[in-house]
Amino acid sequence: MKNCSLRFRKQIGEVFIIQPNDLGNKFLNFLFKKSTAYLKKFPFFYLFPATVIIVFLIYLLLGKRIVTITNLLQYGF
Amino acid sequence: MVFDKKKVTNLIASFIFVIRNFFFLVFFPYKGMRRISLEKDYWQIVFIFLTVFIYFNLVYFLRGSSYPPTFTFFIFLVNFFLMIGFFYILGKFFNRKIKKRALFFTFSYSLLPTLIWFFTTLFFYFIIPPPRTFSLMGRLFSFFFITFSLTVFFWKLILFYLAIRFSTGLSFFKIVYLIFLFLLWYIPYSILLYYLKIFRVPFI
Repeated sequence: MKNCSLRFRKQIGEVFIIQPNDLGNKFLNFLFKKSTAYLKKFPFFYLFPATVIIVFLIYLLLGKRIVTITNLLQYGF
Repeated sequence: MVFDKKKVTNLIASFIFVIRNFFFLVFFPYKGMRRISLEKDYWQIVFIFLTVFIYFNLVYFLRGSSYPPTFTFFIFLVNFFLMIGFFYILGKFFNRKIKKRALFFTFSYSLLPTLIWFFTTLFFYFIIPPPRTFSLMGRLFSFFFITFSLTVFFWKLILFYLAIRFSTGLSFFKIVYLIFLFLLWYIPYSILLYYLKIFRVPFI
């Protein structure tokens, strides 16, 4: 019981190490909280589909030239 | 040779903590970075930097580079401490209670996406060597590789933001402002490193 209480206290202490974000506007704060909530747990679930759409748009824009970007990246290490 | 049992146990524990924190950064980046900002075990940093050093050695021996791995690692350390110093000094203007230790730990752990991208690129360089062609397979691989790179980049951005957030305690707009100021000198600096052929893609 004492261990549980200590662990709980530690976790609560962790949560309050920084103040909540204040963007200076209630609506902005609400929007920020809603949108970042999706990125707090396994962000790839949202990042990956979003990136596929972005890359598809890049492909539509650049066409075959998309290969050049890959070449640049593959030589980039 | 005599091993200190306690030291070896501590080292193994630190290694396990690094793996656990990596796992957290993948599945719970917010919670993970919050925990990392409270870390005190410096051996974890040693393991991360050792992985970076192994990477530079691998690149040197597998691909061949104009600079020895120790030199590249030294430049990486200079970059890393310049970056931490920048956020520490400028962050002090907004918040006097910034902890150097938290900055050091969070920024070290935010190297995870960087390491994953560089190791994967090295792997693909040997499995499917460039240049890519305009064939269907070339375009398909390009689609896959750019998607992978962008996903890792966005993940890196999230971890970078969280690293500044938990180590400085600043609000969103101040962090964006700091990142903007950081990019003002880091982009020309990266271009200089590119022309000197030290880093083609910035290793941060």
